[in-house]
Amino acid sequence: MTFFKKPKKLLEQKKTANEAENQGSSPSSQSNLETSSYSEQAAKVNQNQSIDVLLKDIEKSFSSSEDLMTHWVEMPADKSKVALIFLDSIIDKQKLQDLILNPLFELDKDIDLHTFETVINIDFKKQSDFAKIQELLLQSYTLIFTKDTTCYFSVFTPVKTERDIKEPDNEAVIRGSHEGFIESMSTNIALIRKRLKSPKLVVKYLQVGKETHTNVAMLYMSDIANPDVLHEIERRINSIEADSVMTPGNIEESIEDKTFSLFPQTLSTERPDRVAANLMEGRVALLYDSSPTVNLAPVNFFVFYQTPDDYNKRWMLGSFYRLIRLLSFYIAIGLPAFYIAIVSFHFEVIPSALILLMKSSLENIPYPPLFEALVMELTIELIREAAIRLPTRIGSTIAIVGGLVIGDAVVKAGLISNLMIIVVATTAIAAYTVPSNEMSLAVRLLRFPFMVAAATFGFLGIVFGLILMFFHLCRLYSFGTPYLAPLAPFKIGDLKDTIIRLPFLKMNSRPSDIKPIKKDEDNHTRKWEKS
Amino acid sequence: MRSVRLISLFSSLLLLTGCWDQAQLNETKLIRAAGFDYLKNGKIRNTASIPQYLNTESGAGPVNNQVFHAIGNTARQSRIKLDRKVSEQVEASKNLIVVLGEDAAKKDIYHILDVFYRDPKSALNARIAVAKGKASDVISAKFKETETTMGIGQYLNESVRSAEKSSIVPSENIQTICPVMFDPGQDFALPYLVPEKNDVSVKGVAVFHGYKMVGTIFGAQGVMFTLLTGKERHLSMSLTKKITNKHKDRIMNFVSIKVKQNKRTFKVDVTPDERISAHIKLDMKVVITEYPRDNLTTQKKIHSIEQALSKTLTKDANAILKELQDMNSDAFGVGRKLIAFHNPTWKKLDWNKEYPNINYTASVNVKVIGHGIIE
Amino acid sequence: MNSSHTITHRQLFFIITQSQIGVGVLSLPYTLFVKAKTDGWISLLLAGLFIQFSILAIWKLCEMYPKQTIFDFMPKIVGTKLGAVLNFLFVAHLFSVCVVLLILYNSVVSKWIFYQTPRLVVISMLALTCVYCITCTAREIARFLMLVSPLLLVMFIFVGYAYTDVHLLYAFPVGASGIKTILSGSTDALISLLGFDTALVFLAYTQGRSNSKLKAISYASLCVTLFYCFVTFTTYIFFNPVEIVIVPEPVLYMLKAFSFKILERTDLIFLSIWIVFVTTSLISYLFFTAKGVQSIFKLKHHKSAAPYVGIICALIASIPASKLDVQLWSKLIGMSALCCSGIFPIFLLLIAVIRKRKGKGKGAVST
Repeated sequence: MTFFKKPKKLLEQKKTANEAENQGSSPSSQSNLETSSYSEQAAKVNQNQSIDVLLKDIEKSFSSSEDLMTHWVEMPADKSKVALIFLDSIIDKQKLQDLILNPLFELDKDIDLHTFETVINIDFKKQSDFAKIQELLLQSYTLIFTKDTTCYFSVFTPVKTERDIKEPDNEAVIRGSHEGFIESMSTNIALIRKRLKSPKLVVKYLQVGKETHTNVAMLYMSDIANPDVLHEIERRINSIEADSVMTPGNIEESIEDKTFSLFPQTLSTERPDRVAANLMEGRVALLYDSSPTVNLAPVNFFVFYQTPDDYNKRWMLGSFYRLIRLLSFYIAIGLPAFYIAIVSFHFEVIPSALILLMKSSLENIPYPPLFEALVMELTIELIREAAIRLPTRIGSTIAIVGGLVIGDAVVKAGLISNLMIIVVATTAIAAYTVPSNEMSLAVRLLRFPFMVAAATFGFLGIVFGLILMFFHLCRLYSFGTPYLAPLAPFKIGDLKDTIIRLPFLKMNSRPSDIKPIKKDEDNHTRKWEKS
Repeated sequence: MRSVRLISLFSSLLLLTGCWDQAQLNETKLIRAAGFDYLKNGKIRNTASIPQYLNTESGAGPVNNQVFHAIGNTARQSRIKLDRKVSEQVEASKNLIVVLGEDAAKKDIYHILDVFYRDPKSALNARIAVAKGKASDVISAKFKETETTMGIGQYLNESVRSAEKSSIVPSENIQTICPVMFDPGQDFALPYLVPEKNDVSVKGVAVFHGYKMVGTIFGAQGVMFTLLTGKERHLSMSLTKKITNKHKDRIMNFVSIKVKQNKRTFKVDVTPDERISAHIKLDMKVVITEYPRDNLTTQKKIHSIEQALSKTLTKDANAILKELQDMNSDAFGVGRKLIAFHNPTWKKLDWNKEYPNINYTASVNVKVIGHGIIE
Repeated sequence: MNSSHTITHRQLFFIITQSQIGVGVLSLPYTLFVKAKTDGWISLLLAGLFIQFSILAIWKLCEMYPKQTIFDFMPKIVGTKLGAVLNFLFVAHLFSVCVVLLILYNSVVSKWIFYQTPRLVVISMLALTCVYCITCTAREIARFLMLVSPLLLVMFIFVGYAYTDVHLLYAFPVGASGIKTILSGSTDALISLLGFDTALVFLAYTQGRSNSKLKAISYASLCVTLFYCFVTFTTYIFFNPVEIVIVPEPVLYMLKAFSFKILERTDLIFLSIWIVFVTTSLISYLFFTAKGVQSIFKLKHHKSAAPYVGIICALIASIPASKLDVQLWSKLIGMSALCCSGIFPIFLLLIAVIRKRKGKGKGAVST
């Protein structure tokens, strides 16, 4: 569990809704009846209830969980007793000491708790809504009850469990920012705000999961992002009705247009600069509680092939490497299929000078090419999967053992032809050049149906496979925007930052597929030339 | 949901289907050179060379050349018989060259080639050549070069290609001769291979009329023949010509040239009384590559060489035309011009009878544009 | 009609182009040559001119009844009962076009690559792919057809490569076969240019000024005619006139002889690209058919008709076995298609115009 500061605005907005949701927040198996009676009670009798009864009720609502601590303090000023209540496991004791206990004992006689709030501590808040007690406790607040039972005080005392900001391992760049998101939503928003110092950057909090209370933050540029898309995303997130929404994957899958598709319909990234750049194009970012992954929507196919690195290179290099990446898409899905089709159907297309060499390398292989390819591809996937699970030091050993030793031995043993090793290795490398992990996985899985199709129908199988795939992409939408834009529908103006990357001075309009309100981008980077 | 059902239907269909038309590369034997001969009893003998790399520890090793023979009533039947003699499926789709024995070429070659034109898998881009004597001798011969590095198919193919590059023979393959073979107004010519002890040499061109071979043109005349076809503008081809007899030292009488540019103007005229005359004019730009006398300093001197060359070359060209007329082979397509531009005249003619009698001349105009790095 | 289903006139251009270029491209030079000898390409140009009349009629019809497909306005023109009958006949005609597309596709594929694969498998492979493709809106179809259009350029380059070995003289003398044979050849050419009739359904979805719609269809048909003409002319100067009569797929045959350093047997590559064009024409015709079935059975969405249409077409198409059967079927259906797609819209327009005039006259009397 992690903790974050919840802005007041949201709390107020959610006040009414939370009352119902709070019923479920108790981790015990208490019956609904009991909890509901509690909150009704709390609302009704708070006026004349004594502290003891109130505390007991709270304890009961947490099923006497043992990390719920109550601490009695005697005020030095008027000797009155004050109760501190908090969840021991999720608060910082040091903070408790610094923010509450120390100031309490330093209080002069003429300053009482009520003025204390305004004078000394910004996190010290007076609360009067007793229905919110549970929620506040769960968000690592410490609550202070005095004998005045009409109100209580809350202090935000979260324990710091964040890790440092590091470069995300799976999205490294050569030049550019090396910051990455961490498991804290507020830090993540801060990282984005640091890059977009604009009042137009809007943060909107939503909550999903009846039990887990996962917080989702929606970030967008109010003057660029299309309101229709915003409403659609909000509508979809709010419509999620589930007890637990644990991972971003849950939300992603609940809100995407087509679940029965291999292709990811939101872009997940751990890079603040990538998020910031996409926000400026009019996309919406979704941040989650305790997840370093940020989802961007709506996206198109080509967004998955862009990386922040492209913009730090000279534009011709950026374009070249982007083209290479797009080519790698075809290699990754098509190369093994093409090879299988050639050696088992159409070896006529192999040039004369090569055919005998190819034939000699295949000559004594006992298995059909499809089987050969499947075995090798599955081996590579095995190595990959094993390498993820193992610690980094052993991981590289596995890669060497798997890649080199198995590859070499299998050829020497005459089970697999050396050409097949070349093909499979090239394919594996090509699949990893995709900057997005989800797309890379999709591409890796896609090549298997293509291989089967090629082994049954040769080139024709591949062609029909490609037709089906491209048609599927044509019918796919990401939050109402066509997935294959700007190729289908074709928009020549939008090609300048999808297939290639033109110099910045040419980029003076935003991609139109996400229908930004402000189409023109003020981008006059080389004004000095004209003077 | 519907699409899911459809996709599953489609994929189950994939599993149901076998692999009817698979032709695994490692389960076939590839013919790289095919030879055809007529036997005395009228049957066709098919000779096929099937090379194979001998695998060694470090990859592909030397080539093992296997040659198979089969005899049948037709070309296809002999191929089927060949298939039975070889352990795996025989494929001719990567064939590099078809060699026709001289006897076979002198009969109707279309009868043999029909199998290549009809088969969707056959290699139409294979070269085709005529061999002196039997085709089987050329293919089963053990040449020096074929023993270690390449198969006979590749060897013959490379030999013909290098001959094409130096314009000794026209560049043709099975498909390119086909339209010409069918054309009543044009004939073609093929490389003529002569097997020697250790190698095979492309000696000249075999000239055809219709579907049949009618004669040969040898050596340097072959170069002139290719120049007269005018197919290629930029040739890199050499000629060595005797331009004078004055010198005692024999070598001093010769000059070697390299043709840089060759432009052909081909005119066919029909006089009102239906007499046909054809004239080929070649404008060549050449570079002198060998001239031991070394005095190319003056414009006058160069001019005299140009004139001498033009004269000898014109003589050569006319000799070839005469020869072609005697063989009744319209290799440059006078008839085609008649069909296209004098169609009424053509319809009245019996071209086979008319062609040897037409007025057919050539003139060559040589211009020296360079002389190497010394004068 | 839902606003998210509309297409632009630029997309209409690509739809018509892709529907027109199809199976015909491989064998067109041959069929034309059989009739009009080396002047086949002139017949083709004439045919291109003739279909302009049909295109005008189709456009005018759709302009009179905007946002409606032929199945919607047919009953309005000829009356409900006759309209229903005609609708049924038209759907039957569309079925037959789909079937003949599949038959011809199968005959080429089984001749060139799949010698032993059962007909039903080869055919249902294409039919099922197309069924998946038509279960969506016209806009998505348009997007796909536009996406694959660059392949036309690849085809163009492949065919253009033949110019390394052509005999220009084979095309001469021009016009030797006489006007009559050239004209009779153009009826055959018309069949291969069919596909413009899909405008009868796609025009209903097109947005924009009606002039630009007409322009889109006409330019599409012009482009296709010119492309076909280029292909035909190229094969005529590549093959000898005597040779071409024995080569039913001259384009493939021509490419079979080409080889490059990195790739040989370009015909196999060309065939693979050609499959895409067959698929696109079948997609637009199947969509047309499914729309018709939808209106006949008053279905809510054409999606539910699509699988049945596809499977029925595939089953019928796998009936003809021998080459002669195929020829007979394609000839009969070709002629009927010519009547239904080429001439029928003109008649329909005439009836509609006369009716309208009468209606106006009556209206004037009654008021």
